[in-house]
Amino acid sequence: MVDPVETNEQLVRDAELGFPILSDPDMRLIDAYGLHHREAHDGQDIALSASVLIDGDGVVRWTSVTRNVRIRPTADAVLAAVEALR
Amino acid sequence: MPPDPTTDALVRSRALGLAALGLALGIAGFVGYFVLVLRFGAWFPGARNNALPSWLLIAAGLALSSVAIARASRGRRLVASLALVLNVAVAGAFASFIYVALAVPEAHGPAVGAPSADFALADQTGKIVQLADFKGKPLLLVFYRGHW
Repeated sequence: MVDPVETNEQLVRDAELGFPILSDPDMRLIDAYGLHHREAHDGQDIALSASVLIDGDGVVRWTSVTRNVRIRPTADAVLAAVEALR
Repeated sequence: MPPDPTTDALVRSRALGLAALGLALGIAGFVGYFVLVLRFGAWFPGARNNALPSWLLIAAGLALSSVAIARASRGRRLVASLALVLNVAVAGAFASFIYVALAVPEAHGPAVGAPSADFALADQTGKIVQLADFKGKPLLLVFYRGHW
């Protein structure tokens, strides 16, 4: 299950996030990126934890897809990937 | 020189305390990981990826539990052994949770070097955001699950 717009609105407000959260209720982009995790949580379909960096021409330049929900790229690793685009 | 019977008795009586301390360290290593990540993750961003501090505590706990068995008098050896068995179970539960239960199927994600799939998705205000909105700018998309 993907969080609806209302849940994201609440989260952005509560966590005072400085970036938008998009909702993909039909899992279209999740499917297009191959990040669909079937029957993951309580038997529901959700997205795999992943980060995708896209350059100004719309080309995917860096990705990170976890094999364990506990392990994600650090902020430094993401910033290094962004720096490498310059 | 034979060991001083008073000191010897003291060492043995402390063996159970040592066993309890060992078990407490093991449990602290297990619980500490989740406290650190879920309560203090903002201050220790690397703690989620790296469980080494917890493993050090668990290892110290196992070592203390083992020493306790060696030092315990015969009558107390069973209790000390039980503490070690519990400590090994704690370590096993920790390992199986963080390495097995939290593992997810392997996926590669979108191909690097290829154009991204297009998208038009609503943000938290309902506004539609599209890939084309970011032309000329880098865009980072993070797919998350739960709120962590």
